[in-house]
Amino acid sequence: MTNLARLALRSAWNRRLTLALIVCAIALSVTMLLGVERARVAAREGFSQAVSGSDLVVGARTSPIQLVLYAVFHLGEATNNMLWKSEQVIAADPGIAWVIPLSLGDSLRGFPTLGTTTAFFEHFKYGLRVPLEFGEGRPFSSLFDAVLGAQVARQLGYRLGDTIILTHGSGGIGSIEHSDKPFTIVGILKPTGTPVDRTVFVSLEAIEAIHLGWQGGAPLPGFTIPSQYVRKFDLTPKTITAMLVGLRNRAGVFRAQRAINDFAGEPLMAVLPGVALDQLWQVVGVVEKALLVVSALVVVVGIAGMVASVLASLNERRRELAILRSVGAGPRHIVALLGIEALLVTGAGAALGVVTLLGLSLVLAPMLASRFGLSVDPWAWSANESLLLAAVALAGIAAGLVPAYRACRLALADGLTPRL
Amino acid sequence: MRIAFIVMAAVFSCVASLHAAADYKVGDKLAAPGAGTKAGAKYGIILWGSLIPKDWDPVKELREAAKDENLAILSDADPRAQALLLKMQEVWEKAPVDHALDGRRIRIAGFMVPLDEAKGEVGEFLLVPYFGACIHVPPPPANQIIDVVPGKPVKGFRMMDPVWVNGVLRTIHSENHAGMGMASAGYRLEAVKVEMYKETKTRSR
Amino acid sequence: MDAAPLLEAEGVSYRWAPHLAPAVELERFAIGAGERVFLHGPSGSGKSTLLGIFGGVLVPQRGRVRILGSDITALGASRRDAFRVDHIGFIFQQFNLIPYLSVVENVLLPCRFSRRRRERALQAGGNLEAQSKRLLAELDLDVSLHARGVTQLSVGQQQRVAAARALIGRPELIIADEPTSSLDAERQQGFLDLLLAECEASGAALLFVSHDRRLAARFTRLVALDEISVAAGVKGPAP
Repeated sequence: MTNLARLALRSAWNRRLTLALIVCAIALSVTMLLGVERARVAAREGFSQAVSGSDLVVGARTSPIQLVLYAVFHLGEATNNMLWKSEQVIAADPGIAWVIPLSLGDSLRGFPTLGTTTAFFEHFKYGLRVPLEFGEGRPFSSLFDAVLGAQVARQLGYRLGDTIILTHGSGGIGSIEHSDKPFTIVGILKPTGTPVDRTVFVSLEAIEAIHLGWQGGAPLPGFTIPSQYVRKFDLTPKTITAMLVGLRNRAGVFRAQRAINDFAGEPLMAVLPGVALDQLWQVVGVVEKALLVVSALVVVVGIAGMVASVLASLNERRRELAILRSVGAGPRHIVALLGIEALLVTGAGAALGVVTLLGLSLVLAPMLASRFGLSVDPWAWSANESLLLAAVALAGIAAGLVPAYRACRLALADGLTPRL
Repeated sequence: MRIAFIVMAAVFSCVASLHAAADYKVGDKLAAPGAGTKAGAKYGIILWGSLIPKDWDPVKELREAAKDENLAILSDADPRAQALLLKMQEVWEKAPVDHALDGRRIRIAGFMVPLDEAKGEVGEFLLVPYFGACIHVPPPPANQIIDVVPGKPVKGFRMMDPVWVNGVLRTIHSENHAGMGMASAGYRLEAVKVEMYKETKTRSR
Repeated sequence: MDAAPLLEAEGVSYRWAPHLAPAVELERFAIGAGERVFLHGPSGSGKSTLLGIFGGVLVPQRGRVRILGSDITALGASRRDAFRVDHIGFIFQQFNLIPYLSVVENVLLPCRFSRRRRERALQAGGNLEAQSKRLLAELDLDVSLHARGVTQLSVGQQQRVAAARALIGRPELIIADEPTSSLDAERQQGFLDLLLAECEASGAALLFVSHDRRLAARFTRLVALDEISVAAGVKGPAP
């Protein structure tokens, strides 16, 4: 068999230009196939671990997925606000263990800013009930204190004690900065692999303070209030974007959900984040399946190219097969020879595809972390990926048997003297 | 090429089916376990009905509220039907638990609603008696939902997967019903084993 | 003729398809050990078919072929393949070499498939590569050519490499199917001289098939195909 392997290798090397193209086609398709699978798993895991620990997300009545995406991931469109009064009523209910109010709308150089209370650092959990930890510093206590997520600090190069200026809105051309109200960084969180890493945290009162004298999203001229005087004003918020809720009895989540949905004070909506995400995956799942099918088709095309190339070369190789027959190669040797060639090409394509995938993962991982708060381990390899790879290899071998069988028939029919 | 197509189709359908949810429909319950299901001697199989105290009759309250209505002619959109539905949900949420079950070792089958998830592991989940609960149809009564806390996080489960759970059942007392009434009694299960439910007979509705 | 012929064919009849006339119809044919037989016949007379039968590639519908005492027509396909490489060396008219292997690798092909050939080649000592180079040198192929790719060799040189491949490991029978037909006239005789010398040296029998009778001089026996095969005289449809 090693003889045949050596022969197959030399034969393939002889046609390396054509085969190189086919190897690239297969490599590309493998990268696509595995890449889609990776992205799917990374998105699922990344998103699900970010919402663990909160029983309900509460906000104005919009679409549940939109609420969860905006409130937890800071992605997508802003939702309507809910009243602060409602938050107080809900927080007071004996069935509620804790609430974390959220106020979104400002940013720091592209990173979203979250107005909240210190309850966030106390109660927010991710993954399997993993609490937040500070790498340096502490939660905010003074009005203009700020806490940074790990990604924000690292990417913008901030340290404790630095001063930052928040921007109104999500940044972009023409955004107005809150330059009269600088913040001081008093804490930097440890990395979590969730959107927390790319968030800037300030107190709810601070959000009110920087918008004092603003009307309709812009400061009124002549009405700016210097920072030292803001404390004279009542900085209780009127509205917040949403709130995260933790229950004493988690089995009672549906009851709490219904109670909030029926809240008399204003139209509210309580969402189980896991359920909302699952609905999102149902929708996305259709696209994912389509992508998977497309990738599979590309694999088929790559392998079909290989088969076509080998079949086309068979006519020229009839003499070669007759020579091999004359030195004792039987039909099974011929089949093995061509089968090994197919395996080599498919294997090389798959290997190249995996290497390309790793390269892409390494390059894209930081981008995913900073843009979506998703932490992806480029080196992690899942059982599904092995399965897909095996499927590609099997398909390549199976397809390779087609020209092998044909070659065998030709060789047997030709005997030692093919009519060329 | 036929061979290639067939092989690829076969393998990819296997991969795809790895992700296919069980083919349950909304409202399906898991088959009552008969002989042949392995239950550890320590964990007795229990049916969902046993979690309801014998003296609780939600239908009685509903019958009171509905006695003036002819339910057969009400359409779903009729406000009287809506009011009845609301009333039913209220009654269900005040459903009491059977405190006699506190500390019992049970084995029960249901559908999983993960609460804490990370990297394919589930740390805590709710167990509900029928498929689609809370997603498509109103949630079950409070004494038909179990808050399951496995000793160690479990791998390989997804939303609405049917599972068997072995563990020690605990009952949670309800808080006072002040405020918005979100406090409720309930069941909690300290699970020692969670495994996928396998079909042995036809399902019952 | 020796008491036990090297190759013995009896009552052989072969048709390519049931509705075709037989391509080969042979009553008796034998080759003794070390004999040099020139088989003469025009193209289309069933030469290639006959060689296929002798080589064990084709199995006649009727008759027996015995080589070295073994009835090859009764062997299974893979046993026949093994027997072929163990005891027979082939030289074809052209395109004898595998283009993606080197000269030495081409020569050593039979040793890769046959342990017997391999062992017999090593009997002279050294390693396989040395043995192949020795053989090539005896066939008048300069050492400098050994490193060249086979496509860079002239036809005459390629034929000599083919001869080396047929001869390595000293198989008992060499079958040459028109090996000089693609060489020009001056080279033909030279090739034949080398081939005959090597066969003599290794003690192999040579079955040399050609349509050119002028090459027949140095052979111990001249046989016309239509003498031994009734079907040779009949011009039937080519298989």
